[in-house]
Amino acid sequence: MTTTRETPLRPSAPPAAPAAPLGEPRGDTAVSARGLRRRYGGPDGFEAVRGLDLDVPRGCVMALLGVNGAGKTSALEVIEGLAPATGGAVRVLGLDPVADRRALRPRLGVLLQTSGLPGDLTVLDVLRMWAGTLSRPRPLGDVLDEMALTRLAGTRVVALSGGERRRLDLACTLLGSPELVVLDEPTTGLDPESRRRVWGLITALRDAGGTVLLSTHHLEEAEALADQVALMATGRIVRVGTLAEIVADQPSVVRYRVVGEPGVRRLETREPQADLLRILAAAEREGVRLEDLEVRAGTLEQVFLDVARDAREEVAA
Amino acid sequence: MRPPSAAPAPDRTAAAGGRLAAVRPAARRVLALARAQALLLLRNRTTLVYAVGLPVAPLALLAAGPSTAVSQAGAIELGVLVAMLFPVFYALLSSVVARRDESVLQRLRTGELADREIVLGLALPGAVLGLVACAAVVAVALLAGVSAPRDPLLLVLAVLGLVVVFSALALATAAFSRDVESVQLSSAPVLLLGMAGSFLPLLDGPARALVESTPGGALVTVVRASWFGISATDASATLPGAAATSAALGGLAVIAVWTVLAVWTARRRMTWSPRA
Repeated sequence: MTTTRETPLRPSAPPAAPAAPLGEPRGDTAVSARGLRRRYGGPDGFEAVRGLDLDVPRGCVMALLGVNGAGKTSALEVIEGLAPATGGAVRVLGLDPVADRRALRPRLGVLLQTSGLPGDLTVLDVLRMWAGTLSRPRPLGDVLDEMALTRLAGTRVVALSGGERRRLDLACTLLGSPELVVLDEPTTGLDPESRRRVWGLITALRDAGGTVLLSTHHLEEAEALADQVALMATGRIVRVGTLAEIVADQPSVVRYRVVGEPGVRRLETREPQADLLRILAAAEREGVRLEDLEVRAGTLEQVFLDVARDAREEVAA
Repeated sequence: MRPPSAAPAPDRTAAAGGRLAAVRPAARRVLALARAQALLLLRNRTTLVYAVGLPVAPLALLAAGPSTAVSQAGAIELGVLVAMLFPVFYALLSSVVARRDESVLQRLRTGELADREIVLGLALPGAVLGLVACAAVVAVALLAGVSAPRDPLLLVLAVLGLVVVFSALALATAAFSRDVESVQLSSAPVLLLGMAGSFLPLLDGPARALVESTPGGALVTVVRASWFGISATDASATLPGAAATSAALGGLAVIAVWTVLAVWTARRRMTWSPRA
């Protein structure tokens, strides 16, 4: 029996886009960045984004993963056109996010890390205001239903819980039926039910042909949603690909307990089948019984921790 | 000479139509934001008292029926100044700083609103309140027996110019205001620049020239010249028509210069995000 790790998460997942040469953002991608840089506070200031290369294929959910301070939000703000790059090039839906802002905005939905909604407006006031600024707003009733906000339509933002406020923020993001949605930690602060609801919306958006670029700390979110994952550290993308590709070079882990002996035994292996047979044969030969036996493929968590460790070491050096 | 068949009229019409088509969505966006801003103004009691309550107070001075042109002008100038400082300047300044603190400005920038549309939408309710307060000053003054303005057009232009300059000064001040608490201190220079005009009749020499070049000095100059046809510095001297117009235009020029200065400062220094 052979095992393969090349099965995509979903049959509809688009293939990974091969990297274009430096300095030439791709035209067939929703987001294409080459050598992107962002520095705060002049030439001697802190450089949060340091030569980021990224291609987000159209019709795909890409998760941008990274520890705090990796530069995710700084990079997203450049992609969103909220801040100019200090170096490199970026194209969003084929447009320059700063110079072509007017043309890009109706096609782009953005959710910032921090919700910025006036506290003294009601949920309906906020949606009416936002709809009034859009070229093609969806019916407010549909969006209220979709976000489970209908019963809160008359409630002021200041009285909403964190999760309700986040859902309202997301409602504004999706109100204009954007082709591309950039979400900065969309489910932070949400309860599990709300998180699942948001996941469903993101998946539906992708299934309808939209593109989603999201940053997240939640690895299970990336595993559940992302067609592609980009791991970011110290202002650069250090790994990118499908989840299967990202974890492909990680060893599998075999865990088991020997009945009558304390502790869990753990073995990292690149040949799980052979090693598992060897363990079972040894147990048979020595007359011991194994329990809680499990074999797990390499995980995104392990890759994430490795990247975080490398980043710490780079900073320390 | 262009042949008759090559008339450019359709192109001009198309261009004008294109511009109009671009203006309409922009106006719709600004009005959507202005409506929300007006709701916020109405729902915040402190802002409401500042924006609506304070401009009413000077009307009592006018209703008391000042008898001389100087005292009438003084009461009207105070009414206009309060209308500019509170509904226009403070309402916009506190809005911009508070919304920036709450990341609302940054959120608005993620949508289809252009930056100037955000500024217009935030400024519009205060500007309308300021204009209404000025209209109330004029109405109460006329009811109290004050003669009609000698040059209403210049007076209207002056009021519109004052709304623009005090809005621009609010944005420039926001650039130097870290948070809502710091507004009390950061707004002091504009408060002084506005109130300086009250001292104009008492000053001479370089001090007078200095105060004449402030927004408050321009307000006094233009109100006295366009309404009463008197000089801001010598109330006993009635100015001939051309001299009154010239004085009022001088005041308008000062307002224009301050507007350019304030807009330039705001564009260079104002940030949209508390993180910036």
